[in-house]
Amino acid sequence: MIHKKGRFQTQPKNLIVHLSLLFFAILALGPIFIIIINSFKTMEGIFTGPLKLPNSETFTFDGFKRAVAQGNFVRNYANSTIITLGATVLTVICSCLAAYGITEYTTKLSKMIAGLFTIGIMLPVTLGTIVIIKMMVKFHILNTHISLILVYVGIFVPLGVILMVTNFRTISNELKEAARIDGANEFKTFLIVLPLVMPGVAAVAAITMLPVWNDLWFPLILTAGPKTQTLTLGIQQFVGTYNNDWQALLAGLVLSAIPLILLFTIFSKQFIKGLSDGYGK
Amino acid sequence: MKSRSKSLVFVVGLSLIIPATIVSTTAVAATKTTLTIDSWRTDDSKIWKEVIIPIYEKANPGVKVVWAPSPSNEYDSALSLRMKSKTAADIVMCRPYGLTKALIKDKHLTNLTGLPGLTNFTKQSMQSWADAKGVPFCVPSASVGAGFYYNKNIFKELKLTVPKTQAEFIAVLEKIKKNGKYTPLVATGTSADSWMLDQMGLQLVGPYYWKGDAGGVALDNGTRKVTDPEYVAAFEALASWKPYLPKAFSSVSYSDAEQLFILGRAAIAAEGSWSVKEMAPPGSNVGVFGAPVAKAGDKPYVQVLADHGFGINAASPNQAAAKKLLTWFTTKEFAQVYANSLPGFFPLSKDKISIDNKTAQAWLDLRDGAIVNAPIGMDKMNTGTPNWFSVTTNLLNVMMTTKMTAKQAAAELQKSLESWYPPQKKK
Amino acid sequence: MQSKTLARRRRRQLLLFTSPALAFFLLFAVFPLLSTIYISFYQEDVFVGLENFVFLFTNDEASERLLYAFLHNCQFFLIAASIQLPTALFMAALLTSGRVRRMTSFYRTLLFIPTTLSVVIVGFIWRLIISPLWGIVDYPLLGEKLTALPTITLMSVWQYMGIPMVFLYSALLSIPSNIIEAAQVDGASDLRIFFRIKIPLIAPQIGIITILTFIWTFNGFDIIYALNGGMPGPDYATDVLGTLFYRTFFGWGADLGNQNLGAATATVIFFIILLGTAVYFATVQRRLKASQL
Repeated sequence: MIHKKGRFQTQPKNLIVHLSLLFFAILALGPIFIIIINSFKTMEGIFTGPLKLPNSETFTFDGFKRAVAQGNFVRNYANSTIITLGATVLTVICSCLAAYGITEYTTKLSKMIAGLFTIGIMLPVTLGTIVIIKMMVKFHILNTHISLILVYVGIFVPLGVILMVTNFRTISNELKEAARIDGANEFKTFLIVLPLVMPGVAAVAAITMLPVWNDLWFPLILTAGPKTQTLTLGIQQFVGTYNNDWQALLAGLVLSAIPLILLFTIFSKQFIKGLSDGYGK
Repeated sequence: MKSRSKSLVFVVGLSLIIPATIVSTTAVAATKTTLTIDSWRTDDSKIWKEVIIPIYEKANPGVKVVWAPSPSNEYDSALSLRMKSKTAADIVMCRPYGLTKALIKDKHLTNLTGLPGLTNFTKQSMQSWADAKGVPFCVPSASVGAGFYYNKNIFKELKLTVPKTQAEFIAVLEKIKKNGKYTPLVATGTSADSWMLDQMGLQLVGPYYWKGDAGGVALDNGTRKVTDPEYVAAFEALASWKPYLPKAFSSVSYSDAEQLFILGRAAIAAEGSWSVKEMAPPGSNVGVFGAPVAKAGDKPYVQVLADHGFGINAASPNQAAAKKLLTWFTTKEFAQVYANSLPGFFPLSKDKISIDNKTAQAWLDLRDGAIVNAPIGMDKMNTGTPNWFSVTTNLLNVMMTTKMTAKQAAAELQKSLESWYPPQKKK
Repeated sequence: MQSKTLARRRRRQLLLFTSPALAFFLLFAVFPLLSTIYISFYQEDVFVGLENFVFLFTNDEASERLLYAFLHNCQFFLIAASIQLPTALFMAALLTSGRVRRMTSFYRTLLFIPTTLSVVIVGFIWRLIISPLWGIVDYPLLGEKLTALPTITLMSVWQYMGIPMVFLYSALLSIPSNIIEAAQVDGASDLRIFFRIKIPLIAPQIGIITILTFIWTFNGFDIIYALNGGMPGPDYATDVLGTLFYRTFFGWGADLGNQNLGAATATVIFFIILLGTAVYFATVQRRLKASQL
């Protein structure tokens, strides 16, 4: 009886919740929809009615054609993928190892290390740009993907460690003890508990990937040559000295946004779980 | 569990190996001399890659030229960082004054004394990229001009004639405004594009009042002040545009202004020769006129604005090859190709060049019989903090978008100069 | 004896596990930063002590810019935090209300998409939408001193809403269901459960995301730079510490930049953030944790 009554009452409430979320979703997606429709328009079409759908007069693929034709679009895509993947994977690995160490061997030193990483979250690393270039020149890796990967790992590993620490804290000691009794060494034990924090890994990966993919500054300074140019930097070429090629710029931006949107759609469950597991302690 | 960790190791390995192989393959392909050119002209990539570079490579088979521009807004900061860390391109595009002078001072550019072909340029055109003694460090390659585009169809419809004097100019604007169908005049109102109000505003109309280069020298020496009548009058001439600008002017960006004109909604645009391709595409009916003179009978002033040149990175290992390429940049062949590939950018060499684009030629014609002058304030008064350019552009933006008067703007500018510029300091 | 070797072993293990992360962090973040802070005591290779800092705080022009940039940052942070956090919390509450069931992940994914975009795209599209010439607003929001900064802040809020939303969403998810069920059995209403039970329980997470927003807004400048460049107007009305640092360090327009002064600016910014964070942890977060226990 109670159950039935509850159900009857919640129906309109459900509708309100749906409508509110729908409102927010439209607010979030409306502008993106506008970007997409404008990327299929002529210059005149964009500026005479930016909120209108393309019609037979204003519809064109020109922007996409120019975005792909000019600059090494495919190579830039590959460069961005390599750099983002490399930086993300390395950040995740280093964060997991460090977080395991910090949670497993709690000493004064481990607290200090954790504190150091906490401060690391707030460092404005762009400030060190000159020293970073000089280092890359010394290591002979300027204009390589590796130079960017190294810097990004340095920048994003602190947040990764802190997030993973909260994840590793949720793992019970029993599992680890069981592994140790079975004769596993410390690294093996780490590998055994690692799958339990996979959601955390997804969260760290997500938070690293976003800024790396979209960064403009370090690619400009460290990998400006055409061979290692990233997608974000390549698209910037459509921003001219005086005049911008809006069509190509919009089309390029749309194409460059697709991979991240796809990744987040596919992995959002793991990402969320990683964050919530971290809080579950 | 095991397979998962294995695949993780695999992905890591892969992510490290792929970049490494790419690095090693790039290192192999260096049998030809490769010359890299850095520039802020991202807009010209296509022309360089498809027209200019092939001509040179065909004549010089041992050389590969790579055009590698940086985004315009970040060019200066990226270049000075790269120069300091000795990682800049072999050949760099030189801004007039500013950064180039600083690079010369820090010995980052190669001395070009004795480069064959430099005799092809006047001393005046070398000025923006030479040191205090006149030693050249860049090959001048292009100048631009500022003035107005006008829509001939609108002029015909409203029976207007091209204005010659400031009074006629205001009368024409008034007529267009009264008609109500079109925005009389477009310029740029956003702060990010406020350089435009200086280059295509104050510096365009000002020379009639401050008498060209003499007015600049007088400020540099401290014999005159910005608050003196001739400078205030220049500010006032610009402020007189206010009633004729587009609605919500403070949000009109440079591209907004261009679009208004291109779409036929605005009759006149304060602009520059560099926009010929956008503002006067084939099939359009667009004309060009220069700054209206202060009163009838005055000789017109025209600015030949040095836009860019090319210099050699002193740290480049390919000095000889780079000098050879720069020598080609001084030739008539290059000037001819450049002028026709990039209409609106005019070679600075003494060679007579024919220009195919009619609107570009119209810009060049403005120079006939006019007194050539340079923008004021851009050299000495730009070397301290706060510099002339930042203060002026900001003040012009405020003056044109708020109630600030020409007098107030001039007073503010004078105050800022007095705060640091020795010749203008209060005695 | 044994405990001593055990302690040593633990310490060795700790260092072994943390060394890769520490190596990257120290080498590519801390070292470049420290050596840059070091140059803030120099001017053109000559040691000048605190002179750069004295200039920043006493020169008429420089100190005015610094003060305004700081105030603009505070304004940015206050607007962002006061709109973003409640809205994100509201969204998270809707998502965890259990009333949308299978649609939850659908909505959650949609709401997060703006966060994946680059600022270039965000700046462009909002400028077009609110342009008095082409868009839907008749007032030059970005061109007037009073409205420019709040307008940009709102664009940033729109873009980054996803981050506090998922943080708070996952925090709400991690509340043990037996606590909620117990309250329901006691007859508490949904609203009452939310405000009296859920919010106090996730207060530490709300605190963390607030302080992260603080750090990000004081370090960040990307959307302002993308929209208004390095001298963000009108009349510096949208200049924040990040753009001030960029302009001082790398130069803008005819200003060629001064690395030493730029380094000093960045050092000041860093200490502002450090101070803000320390004060927060010493007061608010401690109390939040205490109340939870």
